[in-house]
Amino acid sequence: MKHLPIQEWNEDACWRRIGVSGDRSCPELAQHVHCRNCPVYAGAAQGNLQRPVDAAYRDAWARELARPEPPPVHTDAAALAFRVGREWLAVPTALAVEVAPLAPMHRLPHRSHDALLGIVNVGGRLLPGVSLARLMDVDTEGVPPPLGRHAFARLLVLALGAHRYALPVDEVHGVLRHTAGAMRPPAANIGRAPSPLVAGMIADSAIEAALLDTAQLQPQLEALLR
Amino acid sequence: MSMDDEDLSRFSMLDLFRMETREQMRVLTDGLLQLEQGAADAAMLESMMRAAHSVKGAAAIVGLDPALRLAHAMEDVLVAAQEGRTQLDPDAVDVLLGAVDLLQQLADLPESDAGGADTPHGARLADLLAALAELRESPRTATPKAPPAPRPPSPPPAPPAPPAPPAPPAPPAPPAAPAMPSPAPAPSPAPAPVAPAAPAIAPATGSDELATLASQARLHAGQLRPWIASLQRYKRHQRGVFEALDQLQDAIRTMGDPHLAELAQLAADRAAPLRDDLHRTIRDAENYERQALNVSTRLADEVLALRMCRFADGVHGLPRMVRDLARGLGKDVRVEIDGADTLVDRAVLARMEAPLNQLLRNAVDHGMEHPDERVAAGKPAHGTIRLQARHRGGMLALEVADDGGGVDPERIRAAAVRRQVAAPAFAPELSQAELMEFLFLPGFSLKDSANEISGRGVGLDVVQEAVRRLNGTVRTESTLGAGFRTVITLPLTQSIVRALVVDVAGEAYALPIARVERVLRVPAADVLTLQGRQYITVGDTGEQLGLVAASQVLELGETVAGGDLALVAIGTGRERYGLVVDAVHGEQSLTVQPLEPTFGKLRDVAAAALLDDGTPVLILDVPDLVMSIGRLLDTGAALRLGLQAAGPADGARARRVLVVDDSLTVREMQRKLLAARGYHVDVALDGLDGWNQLRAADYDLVITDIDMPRLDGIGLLERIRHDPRLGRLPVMIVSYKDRPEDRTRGLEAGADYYLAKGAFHDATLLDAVRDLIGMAHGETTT
Repeated sequence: MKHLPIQEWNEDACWRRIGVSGDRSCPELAQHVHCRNCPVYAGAAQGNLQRPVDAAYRDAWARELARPEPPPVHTDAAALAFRVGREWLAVPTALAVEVAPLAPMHRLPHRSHDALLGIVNVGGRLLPGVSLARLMDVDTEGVPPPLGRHAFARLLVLALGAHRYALPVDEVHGVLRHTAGAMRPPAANIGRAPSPLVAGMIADSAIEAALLDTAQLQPQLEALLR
Repeated sequence: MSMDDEDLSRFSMLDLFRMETREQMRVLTDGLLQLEQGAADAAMLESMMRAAHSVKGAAAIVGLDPALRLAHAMEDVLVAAQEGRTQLDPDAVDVLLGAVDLLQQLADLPESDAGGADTPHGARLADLLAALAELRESPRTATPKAPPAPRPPSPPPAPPAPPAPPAPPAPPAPPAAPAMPSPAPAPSPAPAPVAPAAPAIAPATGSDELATLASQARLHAGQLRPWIASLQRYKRHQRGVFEALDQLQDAIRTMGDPHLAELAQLAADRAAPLRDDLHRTIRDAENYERQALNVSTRLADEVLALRMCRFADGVHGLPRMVRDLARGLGKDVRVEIDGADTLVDRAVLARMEAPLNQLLRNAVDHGMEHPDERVAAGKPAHGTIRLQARHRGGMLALEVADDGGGVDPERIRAAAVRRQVAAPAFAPELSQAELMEFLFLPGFSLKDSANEISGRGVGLDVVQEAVRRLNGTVRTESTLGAGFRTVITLPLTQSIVRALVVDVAGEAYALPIARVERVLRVPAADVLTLQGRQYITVGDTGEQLGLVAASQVLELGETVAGGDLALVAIGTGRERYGLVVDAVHGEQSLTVQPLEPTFGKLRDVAAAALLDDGTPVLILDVPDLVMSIGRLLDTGAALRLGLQAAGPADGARARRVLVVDDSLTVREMQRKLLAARGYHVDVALDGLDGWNQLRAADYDLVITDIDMPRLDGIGLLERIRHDPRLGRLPVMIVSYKDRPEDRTRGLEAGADYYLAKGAFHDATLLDAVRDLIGMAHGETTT
């Protein structure tokens, strides 16, 4: 709909020049305090709602509405998308059991040099905390916060095999419904990494993410525990 | 988790038969042992007969013919004994116990083999049936030499008993035999020991999870308290607002403006209900908190109780083991269990089974004399081993006492010298209690002594190891010729541990309080070095305690100690170390969460727990830690690191200076001067700000003005000098006040240097700082 013609807005309206959106020099402001209380403003609103529409505008809408709806995308799989550093990743929703607020990690003695961050309290249960960034060599340095929205760092709890893991992520997007058959392979250099964790790229209308390969992820996480 | 009908329906008939057989065989075993000791009465015989009869009936229902015939033969013998037609001597008891074992084995056969006549047990069955028949037919004439079923070395390990206290303790005598056509072969009300192997483990993990959740619930309930306190603060604020409102209303009334008066009245009317609302909210919150705390505490207690079982349930296999062992050695030994109803943590009991077994074996094998020796010594021919469980002072005390020959302290003394664990010069000085300690040394045995094969020390080190793992203690006493006694003291439960919480490398760690010898705070200046290794001399005793930095032992990186060192002394005897930690927070009860299911055995870590604020804490495995320290010291590497970290200053770190001054210009000038020379400089706006920063971080020097708002320089100085941690921190005063009396006042308050701003220029300040704490980096002061 974004390409549809919209009537030009009156850029020269008094409230833009001398009213609350302008320099506030309008003498009426003394009485009305705000333009929305002023009859000029109300009149402009009435005029706007009752303005005649021209033929080009009507035609554009007619064409738009006559267009057949695109066939609904058949989705048969769902994944939880989240962000680590700059990278959008996803895991099958069946694996993601909980998204919890970030909590302090307690390091484990003699274990401080790999992707195992330590243990963390998730709802009274102590779970191993694993850094996906370190596991996948994701660069987290100097990543600017996303523009236009708040991003909340979370703990993503995965149940894989007999264990649960808490993975700190920079942001959780939500569920991404996709078609399993339509998964695209990752770029060749990613597929040839020593331990490729990415199964393929998935996308919906809002976001594209790399789906993690459960069969690869599980042994790598288990190896961290031992 | 009690056995209701739904639960029972999960089991096959054969499962039920196995449960019942296990239960009834326990009755029979207990009865037979008492019978042998002459302690059995008619009622006991009666209940044994009924037990055999019940199994017979049950075996008929599941169609287990061999078991039916065996049970029937046993019943016949017992009936004969009841009627006085036969006498049950020890050999007869052997036969009957053999039948009990075989019956149990028959019941435990897999379903496919169950009915078959030609099982591998066929031959033994025939022998036993013959022997039993003989017992019944020909009383006491020919003691049949039936094979006393070779007792498997491990009696089916006492299943850690029923998983719930609601299940009534094993009924001593189940109701009389079921009528044959009875559809269900489970007449006994509670087939208590459900445990064909696997289920014994599952409830444990489940109750771990329960304990975790229960303690979490209690923690959350406890967190309501600060919230209510904040409501109380809010109430005080509200009262202040109401007072101001009243004053305003009064003032308006005196002014007499009707419009204002009306508005004031409106405000007062609208505000009036707020007071009561808040009162009600606070009252409700307090009620809720009390209930939540009450319920969650009871919940946690009940969950703990779930993990408890009767002491007797855990050790019922032991008397039989002792009896068989003693008979094999030609001795006569009885076991008395005292405190059978004492409640014991199931996990503790399971892990004490092997040590208790070892102690009893020792007592039978080495402690007890042969009957003729005993009679010669004026003691009853049969020896007695008393196994006692009691709760004492919040701990579980287990005692194994025999009335055997005891151990000769002089022989321990001789062995200690021979094995070079005690210097010949000291040996004569050792007290009896000290001598007994030698028995716990690995491999320490009295074996080599002249013409005797006694080895009282064998296995005691294993016992001690097991007890220490459970944070308990063990000691032994002996009276030569009169007996040997081992007392084991254990925490009541392994689910909750009293622990000392400390900080290491900025994170919380806990040491079980039983493992902490003492806690010390020593000035860094008291640390001495010898061969590059650090130690301190402990107060009155003059004992020398070696220092190791906890952060080094645990490989958590470098930490730098401040003016004072916080030490936790761990280990015993020669393996005693002062573990240097960041800070000691005090003692706390922690609900243990095992980490083993996730990580396997973690080096130096026993388990984890949550502190009151929900942050994780690792509970250190102190014996493991002491071993780690020993190993690291042997390699030499950790020692060097430990030295650096524990030292009063670290070469790699820049000296930290705190500048406290209310003048921005002075502050910035001092900051820039010092920072240019490599010092790490922080600034504070006044005394109070400075004090807060000092408490939050470690500084090497404070430079302060005197005249400042809120807290002046002298006040700050006094606080620093009265603080145990900061007391020795160098302080320099830089002030406009340069009269001699000002200078005296500053120095009297404890300043190390007094610099007048009038005489102030760059070089004097830098020189003074260098004189006090040296250059920004490194040790040298030139």
